[in-house]
Amino acid sequence: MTSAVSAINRLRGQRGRFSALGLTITATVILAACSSPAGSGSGSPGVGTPVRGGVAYFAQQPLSPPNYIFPLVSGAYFTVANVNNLQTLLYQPLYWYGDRGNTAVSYRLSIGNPPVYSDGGRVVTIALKHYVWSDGETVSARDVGFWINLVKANKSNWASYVPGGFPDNIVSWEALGPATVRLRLNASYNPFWFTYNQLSQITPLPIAWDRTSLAEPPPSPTAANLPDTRTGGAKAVYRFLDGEARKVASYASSPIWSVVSGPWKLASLTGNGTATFVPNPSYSGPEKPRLAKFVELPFTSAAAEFSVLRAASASGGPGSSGQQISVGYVPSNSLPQQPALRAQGYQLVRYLPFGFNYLEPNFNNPKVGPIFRQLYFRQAFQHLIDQAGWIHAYYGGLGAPTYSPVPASPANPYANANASVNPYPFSVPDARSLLASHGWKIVPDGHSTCARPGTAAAQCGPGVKAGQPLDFTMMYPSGLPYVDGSMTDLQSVAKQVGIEISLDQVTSAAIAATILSCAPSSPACGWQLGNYGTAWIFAPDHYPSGEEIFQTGALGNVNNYSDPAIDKLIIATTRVPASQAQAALDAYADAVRLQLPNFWQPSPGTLITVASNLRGFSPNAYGFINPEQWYFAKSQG
Amino acid sequence: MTGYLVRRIVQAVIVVLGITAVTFVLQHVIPGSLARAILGNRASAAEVAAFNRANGLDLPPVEQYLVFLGRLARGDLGYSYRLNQSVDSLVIHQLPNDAILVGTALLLALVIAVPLGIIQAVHRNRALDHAATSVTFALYSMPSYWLAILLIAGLSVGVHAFPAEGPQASTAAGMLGNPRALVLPVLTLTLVNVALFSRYMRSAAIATLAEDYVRVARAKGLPDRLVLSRHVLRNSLISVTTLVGLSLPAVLTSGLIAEYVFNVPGVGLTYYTAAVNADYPVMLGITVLVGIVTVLGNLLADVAYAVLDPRVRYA
Repeated sequence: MTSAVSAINRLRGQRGRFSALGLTITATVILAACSSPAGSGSGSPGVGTPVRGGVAYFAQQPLSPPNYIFPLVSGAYFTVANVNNLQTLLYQPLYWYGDRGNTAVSYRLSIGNPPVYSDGGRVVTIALKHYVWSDGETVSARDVGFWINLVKANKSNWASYVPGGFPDNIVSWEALGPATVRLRLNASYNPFWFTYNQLSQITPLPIAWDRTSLAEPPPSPTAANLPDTRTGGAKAVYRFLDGEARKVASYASSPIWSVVSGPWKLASLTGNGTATFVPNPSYSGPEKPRLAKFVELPFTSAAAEFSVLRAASASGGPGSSGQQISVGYVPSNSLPQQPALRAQGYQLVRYLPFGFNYLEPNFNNPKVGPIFRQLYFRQAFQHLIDQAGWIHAYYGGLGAPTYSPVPASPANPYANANASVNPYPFSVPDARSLLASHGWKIVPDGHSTCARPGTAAAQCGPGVKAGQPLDFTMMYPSGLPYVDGSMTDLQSVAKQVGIEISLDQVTSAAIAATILSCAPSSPACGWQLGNYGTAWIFAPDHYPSGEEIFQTGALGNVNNYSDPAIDKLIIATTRVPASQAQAALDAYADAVRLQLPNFWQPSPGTLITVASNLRGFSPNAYGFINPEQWYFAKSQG
Repeated sequence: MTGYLVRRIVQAVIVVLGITAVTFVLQHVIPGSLARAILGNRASAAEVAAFNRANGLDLPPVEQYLVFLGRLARGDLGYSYRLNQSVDSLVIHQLPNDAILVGTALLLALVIAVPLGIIQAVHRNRALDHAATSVTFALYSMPSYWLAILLIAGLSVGVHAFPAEGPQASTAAGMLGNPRALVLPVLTLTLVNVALFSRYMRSAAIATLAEDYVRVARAKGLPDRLVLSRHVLRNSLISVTTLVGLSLPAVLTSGLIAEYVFNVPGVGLTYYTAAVNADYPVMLGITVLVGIVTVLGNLLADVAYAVLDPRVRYA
């Protein structure tokens, strides 16, 4: 009964980072906004006479109501519902990424002006635009420092923390003035990487929150020795704010959470998860809300959401009444009903977030790990994955093939020409040939076994025993028809070369608790192949470098892959000067796409429904939402 | 009667304690850790340790169980780390939804099924009985999910007579304030239950109609209406009473399909989701609650037997 995964609203499913590029570098190494638009979805065209007001209804993913408001969020609450659909509407991050499908940073929508890098990439200076909090205070350099102090003192409670990354790489911060902050870094970093992967982690917080109880009056932004300036004090402030974030029912009336910088204020959050937002009249950004209200509707299932879509009116706006979903989604098993939705009047928008998808082979599994460590085997296995066929047959045409860790789709300025070329196209004969030429006795529809053990070129490879069969167990989440279909296909195709894949459908929670980094001797290393059912999305760090997934020992490198040559290439992507950034990224991507640290599979897309007269909607490349850009139009069509 | 009640209550307390112990043990033998299930596989060891420390999961299991029992004694069913709220508040918020949906459906089903069963018994093996049997068999064999989808397709998407989702209010009063939205989910649950109850009622009534006291009553010239209402109905209700008693915990859990399809958050769906997401505190809390209600339902059924049939309390 688990509903289909819809990429737009799931962040728990987002195992990775959020991304973008396309920067111009001046002589003084200034990062400036630009980049080619990277359409991941066309959106609703801005035609028709705009009408002020009206209520837009947004369908939440099933059983995923927002329930944690504090932006310094732990892994337990690191979900799309909380980060993308609640926190960023209220508390604007320092920089905004992914606007209208463009993978780049949008300096126009950001609080910070383009960061200026100096001292060989060891110093970053950020000038803030004039933004104000809803309590009248200015969004200042001190607010950025407040965030850094809190994160530094509470790293183990922060879902986005990566050892060695932000804030470990910030030696110090300094307010050069009320609206300028300077960060000193512990090394020289690639300015693109730092802007997209590290500065993306900053959300200025109001000094009104810098206290340890509600009984204390909100401190003045200019006060000295506030609690956050001491580690113990910052921990106490975190405990207080986390405690306040546990009182979900009182979010809307809280004196803490009602101080916002974003375009919206929370008017109510009901027990069943209906979140109602109203425009923040103090919002300083360039796009003020035109809607009277923005309402997020909870659903118990994708089926329930789809029933409402079908039964409700496809148009909305001022004066409309009755059931309606202004922005919703089509469950994957209901994709054939697209004509009926179009006939109702809905606009249908295809959406593919910036990321890639893969299967995880466990390199440390004591039984099959030695097989996975053989490049020829990984190549043969990749030849068995029919990405185009899966997209057509199981993804309802909504998906993009993955050939590279810097993917070609959606369009982005990072991917080179190789990203569009499949180095190991679907070919059973090629897979058979590779295995046979490396000492395997192929038994179609049976069990192929290693006939020539050893380490020579035409032998099975180190660690593979004589007579060892090619038998694997694949874990994948239940309830996702496209995953189920593609895994069944893989099982069937693999059988043709004598590879036996036992399919093991489990819950997503079981996958998260099982597919773990492990030592070969550990009982936890019993898993062999895993499929999450959701793609790696470049969020909340948006540069498509691989330090969080393919680098030896990285937290996201749960399949225990380790290659010193790849490690070097990854480090280069984070450390080279801006002038060499793209070359370093190309070198990394070209190596990883051929080395297959995991098996590439298609990234699933989502079909979004938009009310017939709603305009301004365009999916964000990383799944954020900007209802302040939406409006109803007078004339339909 | 008092001694009988005391014995049954003591038994009930022991059963509930057993349920808590078994559930707690099961929670600890499930592979994987709660922290991993909640934080995901990318969480660092420090993050996992911080989570375990903050939630008392680093204590020995026996100590955790005693802490759990202590909380339970204070009416604290636990805290969901996924949903960021206490299990108590979840249940308190969702129970009215279930009580209204499932409770109304149960009542309606009884109101329809009891007379229907008796009518079928009286007219057994005739056209009316065959027709009712066919309909109830069809309804009983139809998955409620499918029935719900059919009702939505026909009455909501097709003719827009009723909303496709249940009431979205957060309170019982709000739920009742939108009766049109209640129609489809209540109808789905009612139709399934009518089929079940009417079959039981028909069988019991047929057996009762064959009893000597019924024949005597008729021989004495008592009108059929009085024979049915005074003798057949009361004696036939015993078997249905068992069903109703066992259905009490169903108020908490049997609404799952209706909750899923009609967008009404309820305890049944919350329990299912907790199981899928390894939200152990919610699973444990609701299991204990359902255990208590099940024991209570059985207790009430036993008391009802004793009231309906005095032989039971002297046994």
